[in-house]
Amino acid sequence: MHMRKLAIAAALFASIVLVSSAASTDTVTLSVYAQFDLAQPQSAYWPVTVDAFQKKYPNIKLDFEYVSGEAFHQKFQAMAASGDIPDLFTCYAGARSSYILDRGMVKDLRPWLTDAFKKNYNAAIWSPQGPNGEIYIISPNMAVCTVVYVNTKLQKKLGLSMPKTLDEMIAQVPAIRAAGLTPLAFGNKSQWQAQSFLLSMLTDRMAGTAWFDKAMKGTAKFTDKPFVDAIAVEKQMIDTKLLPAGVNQIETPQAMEEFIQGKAVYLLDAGWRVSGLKKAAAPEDYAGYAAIAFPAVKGEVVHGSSAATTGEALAMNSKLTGAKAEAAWNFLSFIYGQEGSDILMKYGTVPTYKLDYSKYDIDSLNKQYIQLINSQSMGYVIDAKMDGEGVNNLLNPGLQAVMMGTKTPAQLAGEYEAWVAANDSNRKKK
Amino acid sequence: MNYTASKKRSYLSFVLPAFVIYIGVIIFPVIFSCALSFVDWKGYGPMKFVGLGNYARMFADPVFFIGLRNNILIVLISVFGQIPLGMLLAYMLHRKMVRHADFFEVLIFLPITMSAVIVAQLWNRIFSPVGILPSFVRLVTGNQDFVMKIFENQTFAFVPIMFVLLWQHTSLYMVIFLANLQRIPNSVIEAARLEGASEGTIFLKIITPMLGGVIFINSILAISGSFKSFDLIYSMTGGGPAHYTEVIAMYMYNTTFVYQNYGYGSALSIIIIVFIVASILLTRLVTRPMGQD
Repeated sequence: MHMRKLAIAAALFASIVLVSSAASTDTVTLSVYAQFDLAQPQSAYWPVTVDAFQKKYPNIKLDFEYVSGEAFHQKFQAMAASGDIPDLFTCYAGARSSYILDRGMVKDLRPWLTDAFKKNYNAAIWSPQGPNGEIYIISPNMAVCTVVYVNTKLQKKLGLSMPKTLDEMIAQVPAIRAAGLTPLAFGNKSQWQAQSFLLSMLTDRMAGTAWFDKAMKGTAKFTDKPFVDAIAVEKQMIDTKLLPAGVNQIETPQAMEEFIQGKAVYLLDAGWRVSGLKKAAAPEDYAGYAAIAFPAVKGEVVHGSSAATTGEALAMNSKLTGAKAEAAWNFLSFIYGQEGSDILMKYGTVPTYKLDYSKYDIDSLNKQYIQLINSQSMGYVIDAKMDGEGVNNLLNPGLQAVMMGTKTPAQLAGEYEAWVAANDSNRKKK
Repeated sequence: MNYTASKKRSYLSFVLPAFVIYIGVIIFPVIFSCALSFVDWKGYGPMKFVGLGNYARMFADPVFFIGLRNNILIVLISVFGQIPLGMLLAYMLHRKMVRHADFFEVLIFLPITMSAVIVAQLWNRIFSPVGILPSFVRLVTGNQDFVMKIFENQTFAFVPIMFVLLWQHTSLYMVIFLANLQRIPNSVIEAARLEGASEGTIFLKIITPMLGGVIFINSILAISGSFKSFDLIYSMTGGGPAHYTEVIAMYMYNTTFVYQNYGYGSALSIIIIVFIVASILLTRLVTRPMGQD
């Protein structure tokens, strides 16, 4: 009798051990280092996406670490230097992530990217991202860096029309300021905005991408007139008080806050701000917002363009293999596939994954934004093309100096060209 | 003989672990950094020997000199601002020159307990163009363009940061002085008072010399802290606008880890060490007459 009980207990114990060990081997844990500020309204879709993934794949455990802004890159560069990076991490398809791309730390996703998979996306995201045609990220959205948002209610109240040229916009400044308002809200405290949101687009307007390709190779120079003129437009916007006083002390969220509070008629920001505006503004105010291209600039050769790059996305550690690599792919193909893009769209961001827009209740601002980006050409974002040291250490602070009047546009262009000629990796490519 | 050998082994067993750790985390990084300062290296791939090239570049780099100037300003505000003010406040509290001294002690000490990021956010909300102070001035004066222009002035952009550093760090020195003041016998001060010495005379002629050693220690803390300043400035201005509030430690960090220029970044870090050591030696020389030895 005792023996039988003992045998049953042993069998029970063995089955528990077997079941639990089977469960533990099935569970895969992935570390994820993501550039997200979950407090920002445009990040609201992310926890919903992760929850949906966890419901579908309960056996994949995700350990997240979130760091936002420049601090993300700084910490990641230190990790890259130590040679120990997480399983998944935010990556840009260009110079911004060169510290991991150049070290070969990012997995090429091409083995998973079948034609059937790729045809679901906007073809622009499949441009080669590495020297041998590698694809490191499935960009979920195009990062359109220049959009002018308009508070049409304020515009009507002040009797203003939609400006078609920069001169027309500048002509509205006295009327807007007389009403105690800011004409064009914009923040450049973090230094990169005047370059990413403004100079990149202005350079494209003045010179076009063909000139930029030449400047990267060295057959054109950053001292050329179109580039100097592009910088000079920023100074003009300061001198005419189109941009707010103390623009180099204002953070981008503060500028958005001014716009949402109805203290500014226009807001110069990126395309990804649409979802943030939707989340933060009162619905009746949001309904009165419009999205337009930056107005025409005197001397421009490209009309109505913006500047864009493929948006950043999570990428895979090149060391991942086997079950871990498959789990990581399941995660990436979910969040950037139909299910994840559906959530992204519902939260107001237009994904690169092709969706049937008629199924979605798209608000007026998003409709305008979709129309806008489908109708305009896109120039390069300078910091996605040129080396970080020249852009961050020289061009961005230099633009602030120009805006504050301590440097001339020609002087800055000369300094930047000298740095690029001596150091930039684009000029060193054979 | 055996006894001496065993004693040596005992000493070694106590000293060696600490010595190895010290070599590993202090001496080796300094030597490695010094070696890196003579090469051009991205943190991976081959190194290229450039001799004194990184140092030559440094002395032709305007951003380095802005950083150096700002670091010297921090040293000055620390040594000639925080330490004297901390000492004065400690003396006033120790001598109960104000009522509710305990309350004021806590109040003054509070800023040092706050994280530098919080302090930066707090003052940014006061100084920013959409912050409390400019908004108030705009309301009162009707000048809609009013902003704290000092932040955009190449010469004076660092002044508000110095003010915040003074506000936050004075309390640390105050507490150190207060603890040491409590060790001075009351009879010394009472004797001086009986002799007719004024409060000022007691402070300058009796207390200050007696605290000479503490002043020296505080100066070392202030100088080494000043050259390593990073968190508050990084959170408050990020070195901007246009590098006006750059400091060497921040420039070194960006150069090394953001721009992956390990050689130049190492040269900057070696210069920081040189300045700290030189400043401490200078302080030792200056405070020697005050009896710190």
